[in-house]
Amino acid sequence: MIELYRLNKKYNENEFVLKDLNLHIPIGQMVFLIGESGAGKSTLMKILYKAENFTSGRVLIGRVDISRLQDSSQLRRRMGLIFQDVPLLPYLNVFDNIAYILRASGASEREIKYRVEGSLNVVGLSHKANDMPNHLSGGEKQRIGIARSIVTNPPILLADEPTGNLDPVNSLRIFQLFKEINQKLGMTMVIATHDPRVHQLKKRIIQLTNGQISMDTEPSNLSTFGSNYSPN
Amino acid sequence: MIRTTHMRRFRMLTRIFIEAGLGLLHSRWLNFVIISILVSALIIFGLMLTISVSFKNIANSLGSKTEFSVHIKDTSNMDSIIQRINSIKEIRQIRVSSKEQNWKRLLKHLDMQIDDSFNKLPNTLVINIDNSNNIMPVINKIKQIVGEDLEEIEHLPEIVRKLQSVKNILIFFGILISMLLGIATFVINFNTIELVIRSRKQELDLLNFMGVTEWYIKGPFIVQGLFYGICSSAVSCALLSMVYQLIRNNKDAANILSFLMPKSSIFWQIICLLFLTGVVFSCFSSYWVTERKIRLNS
Repeated sequence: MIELYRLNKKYNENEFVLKDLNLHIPIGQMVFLIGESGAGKSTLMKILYKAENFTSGRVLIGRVDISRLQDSSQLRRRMGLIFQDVPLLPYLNVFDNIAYILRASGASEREIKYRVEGSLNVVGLSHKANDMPNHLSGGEKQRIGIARSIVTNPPILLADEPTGNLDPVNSLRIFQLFKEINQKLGMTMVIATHDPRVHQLKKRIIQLTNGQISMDTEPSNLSTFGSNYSPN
Repeated sequence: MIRTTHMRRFRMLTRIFIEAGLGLLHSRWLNFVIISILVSALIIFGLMLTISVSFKNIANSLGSKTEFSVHIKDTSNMDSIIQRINSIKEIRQIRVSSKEQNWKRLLKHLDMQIDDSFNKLPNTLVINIDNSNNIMPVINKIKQIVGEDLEEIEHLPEIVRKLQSVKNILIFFGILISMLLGIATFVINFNTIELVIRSRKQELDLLNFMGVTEWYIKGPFIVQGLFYGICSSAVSCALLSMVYQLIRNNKDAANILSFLMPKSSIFWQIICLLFLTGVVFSCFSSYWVTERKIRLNS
């Protein structure tokens, strides 16, 4: 569960990046965060994974006030993070790239094999386990990035512009994949994106405008939202 | 459950050492440069410690002596001078060593035969006093009493003072060189580990975003520093020990350098201190660079 209470973030005295945000994302919900560049999407995502501090308000993740956490690693262990650029280690094959984080967390080789194969199955790239990153397409790289972020089975998945580098077809496939993962694994997901076609997925969409929520459409209202929504 | 946690920690620790090994492989010849400079710094530092301890022991033993020599011009009346000096209450005993006796002793020491007509040595009074702390006041009194008949007073505190000044100069330059080499090691170690950090930036970012603990991320670099410290300390301690044993086993060398050779027990203490210094110094420089260059939570 992710809860924001009167969240404010400003860099200068009068320049709010996020203003008075109140938000409640229940466990297992998939949310798309949309808005123009500079609307505050990335800032909000950074606050959620504690790469940036906020000015005032409260942020609770799993009922834990993140401002009280000294160390972001405690929080990040409960999250999968996905970015526009997928930093795959070029000298490791797909399997080892996904296994890298498991090895760092002291998992046994048996556990690693089980988890990596499982996450590759979820993203549909089991056959690419031995390939090197330079042999993968952009869409495949992003899928591997997703596999890596779910391999530790985190309860929350945050994705910041995950399809920013992909063509429209691959973008839609990635969104479909997120939807499948959400349904299969029940992870709470927040996906920040510019892509206007997210309404097709019939999931909750929150629009940020100048650091404020200008629209919050629950899945039940999506049919109305879908017909009216026009990006930018 | 507990067992699993321990096994996980053990595997993480193993990974830290593997990552440190990869870092060392990545640094290649820079490893040798770092270790060589650190070895040089530690050897000089060890020598300075040894010399300092030896000089201190000599100074202590010489400083506690209560005997000194007063050389009197050979034209002076010795009996009258002895009578006057005897009035100083701190003096316990006065022994006379005539210029002839001094000459014979010198020739015997040099193992030479020279005609007595070349003897220009003075007569000497070997004076023993009650307490080493009274040496300077007694000397001053003797200077006043003997006046122009006095040729020279040879006393150990003076020798100690000269030894001290030599020691101070040696130690000053020793510490200076050690410090310069230490700084050089620090800078090279810093840059080497920084290069490794830069080359592994992608991995470190990944670990950071995945919430891997700080000690796992920074650990390999500190282990790398530990490796440098252990290697260079081991090499420098081994070299110093070899030299020490060589000198001890060679009688001539041992005689010549006896004043610079501390007791075996003290030498091993110095070696232990040196080893610890190398390891702590190297670990600290690695720790410092990780603190400066690895930014987590961002």
